[in-house]
Amino acid sequence: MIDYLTKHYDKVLGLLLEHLEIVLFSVALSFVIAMLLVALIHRLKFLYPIVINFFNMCFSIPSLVLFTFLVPFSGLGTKSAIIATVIYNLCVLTRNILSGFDSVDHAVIEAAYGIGLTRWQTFLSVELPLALPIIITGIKLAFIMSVSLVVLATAIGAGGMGALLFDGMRTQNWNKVLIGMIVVTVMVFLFNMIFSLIEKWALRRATGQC
Amino acid sequence: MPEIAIELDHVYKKFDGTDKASVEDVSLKVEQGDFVTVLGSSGCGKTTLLKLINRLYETTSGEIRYFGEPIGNLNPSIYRRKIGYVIQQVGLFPHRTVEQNIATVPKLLGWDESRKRTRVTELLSLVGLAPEIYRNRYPGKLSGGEQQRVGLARALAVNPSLLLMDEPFGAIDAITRRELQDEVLRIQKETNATVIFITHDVQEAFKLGNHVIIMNEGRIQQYATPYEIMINPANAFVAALVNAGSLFERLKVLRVDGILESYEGIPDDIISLHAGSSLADVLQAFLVSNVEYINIVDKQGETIGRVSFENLKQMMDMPESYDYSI
Repeated sequence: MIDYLTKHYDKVLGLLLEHLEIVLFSVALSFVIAMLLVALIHRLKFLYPIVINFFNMCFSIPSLVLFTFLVPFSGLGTKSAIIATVIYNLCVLTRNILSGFDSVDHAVIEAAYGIGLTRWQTFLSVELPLALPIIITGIKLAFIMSVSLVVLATAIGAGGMGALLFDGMRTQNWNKVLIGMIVVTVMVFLFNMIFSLIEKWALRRATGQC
Repeated sequence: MPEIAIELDHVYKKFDGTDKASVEDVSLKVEQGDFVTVLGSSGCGKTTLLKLINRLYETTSGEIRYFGEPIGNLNPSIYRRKIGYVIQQVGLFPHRTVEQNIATVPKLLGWDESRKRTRVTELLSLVGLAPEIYRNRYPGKLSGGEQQRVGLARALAVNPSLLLMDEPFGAIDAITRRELQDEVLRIQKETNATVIFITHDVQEAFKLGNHVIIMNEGRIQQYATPYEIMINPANAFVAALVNAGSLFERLKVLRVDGILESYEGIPDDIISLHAGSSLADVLQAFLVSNVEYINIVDKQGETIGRVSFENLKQMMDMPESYDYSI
């Protein structure tokens, strides 16, 4: 295994970077879309149940089915993988951002307006910091979910660590499988660890413990 | 004549999707420096009235003027910074320290650090919290009473000419509530701010207000002094709400400073009561002692007048043929 890694570390590194690139891009894209959706729902309340139910429905579709479903529209490869990942991320992110803002005590917002904060000042200095812990939890889940979705996206020809894993399985090259497994697992652990720390910090800040 | 701080001119407020107006044809004037309490049961429109005054709600029709200026012409945020606002749930920012909470509006106004710090120290002392102990605490670590004191300090931060309070002590235990009521009375006298104070508690309304507004179903039923309301309730609703026919209620809610006999010279009686005492206190004093007059003093202990048992009887103004049956 070490042998394989020293010989092909550039290939493994290339796949890892590709994997990270797809994950980062889809999480970032879905975060922006989710924020826009939440802003829209804030204006047009009737959209709330519609959006939530739609995403709940999307979330229940098995990932491989969604991947293959997208192929006729966006073709084989990274593009379909990103679209599918963004759809799943949106379910988690929209829900968490919404419940993050919902969790802010209404009296606090009323007091903020009442003593003369503008809409933006209230949003930036009161609502956002208080909603942040739940929003960060959503981002953490989106990252973890995206890492494993992108592994499966190899099935429709997207790059990333999945290529190494499936390749290894097909050719019964257990070195490849083992390295793929370890890299993916470490990736998920790291994302989990980093965002759990940020989450803890945001929570302490929101509840006034630091 | 004092200036008119707030004037409402035929104000209506009807919310979308309701068929009855929450505030219906309300016209009133509040003089600068007055302490006005608004009394009514829940759903009578008193909170809506308050939120119309600081433009958290906009009127459906009618006009509200702040020192003569229609508030519709003012920028809402800048206008609200001149008005203190205290609500029952307090609404302190949990992620900000007591100091940061109090200094919110000063910070918006761009005060420098040392000015903010001095002001926070002043305000914490004013509301009865030791500045060095409390300034760096977070709201989550404070009791309900302490939180409301901080909420009051935050509202007073830039010396507002108008203070709006929406059932500020409704969720606070009876002992702390009495303490806070006294603090608010003292602070109002010190700052000479105009206060509009909402409550559903008759005793609180009569204890605090120089004038009391009684509301029901979105309309003002009576706007008068506590004495006037007790003695001449405007209608059956007011009479029932304040229990005007009951001698004991009158004794409990009416204050002695309404019946003072002016008195010059050194009082020869030893019994003294504060000007804010209720008539029940006065009656008790007459019952337990054998004096002709009771001396009434202000907070500093200076004699401001005296009262006799005859005064007390007149004040009670009971009808000739009082029905003593149960």
